[in-house]
Amino acid sequence: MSLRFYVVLSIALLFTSLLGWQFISAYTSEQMFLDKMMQAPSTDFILGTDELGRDQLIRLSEGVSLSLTVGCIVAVICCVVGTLIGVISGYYKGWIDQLLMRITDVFLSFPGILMAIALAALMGPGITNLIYALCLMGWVGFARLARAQTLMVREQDYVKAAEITGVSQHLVLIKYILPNIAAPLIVEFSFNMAGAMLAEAGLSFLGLGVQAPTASLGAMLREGARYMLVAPHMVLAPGLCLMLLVLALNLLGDALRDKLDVRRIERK
Amino acid sequence: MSHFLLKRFMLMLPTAFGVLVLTFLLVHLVPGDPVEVLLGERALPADRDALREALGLNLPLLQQFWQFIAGVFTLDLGTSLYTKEPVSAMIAERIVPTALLALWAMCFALIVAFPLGIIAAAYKGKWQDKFAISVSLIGFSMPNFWFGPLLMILFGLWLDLLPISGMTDWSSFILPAVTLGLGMAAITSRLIRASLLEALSSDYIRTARAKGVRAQNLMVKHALKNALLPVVTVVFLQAGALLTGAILTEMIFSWPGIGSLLVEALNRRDYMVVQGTVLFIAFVYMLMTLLSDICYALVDPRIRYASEDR
Repeated sequence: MSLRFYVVLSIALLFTSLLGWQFISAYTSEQMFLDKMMQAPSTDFILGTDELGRDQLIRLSEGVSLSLTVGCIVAVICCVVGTLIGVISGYYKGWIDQLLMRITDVFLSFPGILMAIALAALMGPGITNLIYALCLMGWVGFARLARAQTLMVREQDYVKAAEITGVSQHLVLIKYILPNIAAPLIVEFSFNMAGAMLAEAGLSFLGLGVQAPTASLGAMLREGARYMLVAPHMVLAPGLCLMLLVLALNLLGDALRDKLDVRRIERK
Repeated sequence: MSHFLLKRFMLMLPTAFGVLVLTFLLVHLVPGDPVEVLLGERALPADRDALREALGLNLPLLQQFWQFIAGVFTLDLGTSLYTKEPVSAMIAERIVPTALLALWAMCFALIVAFPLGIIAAAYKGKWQDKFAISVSLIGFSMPNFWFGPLLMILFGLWLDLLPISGMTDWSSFILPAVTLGLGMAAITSRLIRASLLEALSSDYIRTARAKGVRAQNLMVKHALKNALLPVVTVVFLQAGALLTGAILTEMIFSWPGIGSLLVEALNRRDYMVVQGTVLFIAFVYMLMTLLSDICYALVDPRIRYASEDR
């Protein structure tokens, strides 16, 4: 097993135990100890307390589960929608392909995070709007990838044979094309989820994500950055967690790419 | 070449139109009434109507869109709801700090990326390579809104070496530029490595080696020169990405640029400024993509001949 494998495994173990902490912690994430504000890590509060005297560790644990949930939801939606658009575009070709690809081009030329920021701000902060905004920017990668792969696979003999023997187009898409384009999409899923989690934290950092008092990594970083000159511990832990999560997903994507032997089709 | 340029430019037009539509819809079709958000729920109906009229929101959507387009072509992006200044003037005021910051960030990224990429390719599979790859992967995964505060704590608070906010003399550029350039450094170094490895495995390198060209010369004169092609284009693409990265970086370092203008406008719900800034950033981004394609065609004749064949 490679070094990469052990790094991903240990990060996964670390986060499993961090998530498990929610069930055994003596504090809740909204419990305030106003006499113990912004305390450095101690035996009572392993990662210290924030500006309202809340336990950082339990908030971190909840923030990580929120981050993972949002990242997963966004990546699944993007994967389904993007793949659908890409496969239709690549399989049926013609005007529908032209139309879908022009739309994709517009979204590609619009920097994703900028669109998400503008959307989240204009729709008002909140978790649902945040997910909409992130989905709107995330599907494009899947669509381009799925289209390119479909264009390749549809020329294969087994697809042509199926078409000649009278298998319906829908069935060809589902049974012959989808399974054969899955590998690069799985790799993209990993990178996409990493990107979604970074974007979620970024938006929450701007105050556009989940609202107080719910804990999220981005919001913790926002508070941490505000008080970092007096209580540096507040900004260290959430950022490290976010970085490790993103790192693990990127490593996983790299490993899957090598394992499944796909060359990622670059966005441009 | 002119054929390629024309074709590429024509291709950009529908995209540019799409970006205009998208920016327009962002503000106009988003659920919720901007007037209500601006004035609050308890505003008088007369006040609401007055504001709606002032913003042109009472007109049919198509007419609003037409006005918006006409405005964009005359560089009139409306006036700020908050400061009553013209939006285009507000943007113009902020361009220089952002451009300078992006330039510094790019310099930092290239200064780091080249040695890292070259070392990784030269020692492929050895510990130096693994080290370089790990550094770039960590850089790539590092959120800049965490890296910024980390640098501030280390160099501003503990070591007390560098200023941590605002734009003053050259030393105030260092921390924001490093924060902003980190991602680009990581991506570019990976690219340099990959493209050097590809060049190193080609026939002309084998020939040069057989002729007895020294290792350093081989790397710099033969391999690097050819490996630079993809790097040059990515630099432009990354320059576009730097602009969006600048939003968070500028906010952290209280940098007086476009990014912090956007964040301020978002916090004040100043729709006109948000719309104008988003449009501006999107257009610069698009321009950078265009430049990258042109640059690619300039340095690699195969691209433009392929486009003429079609």
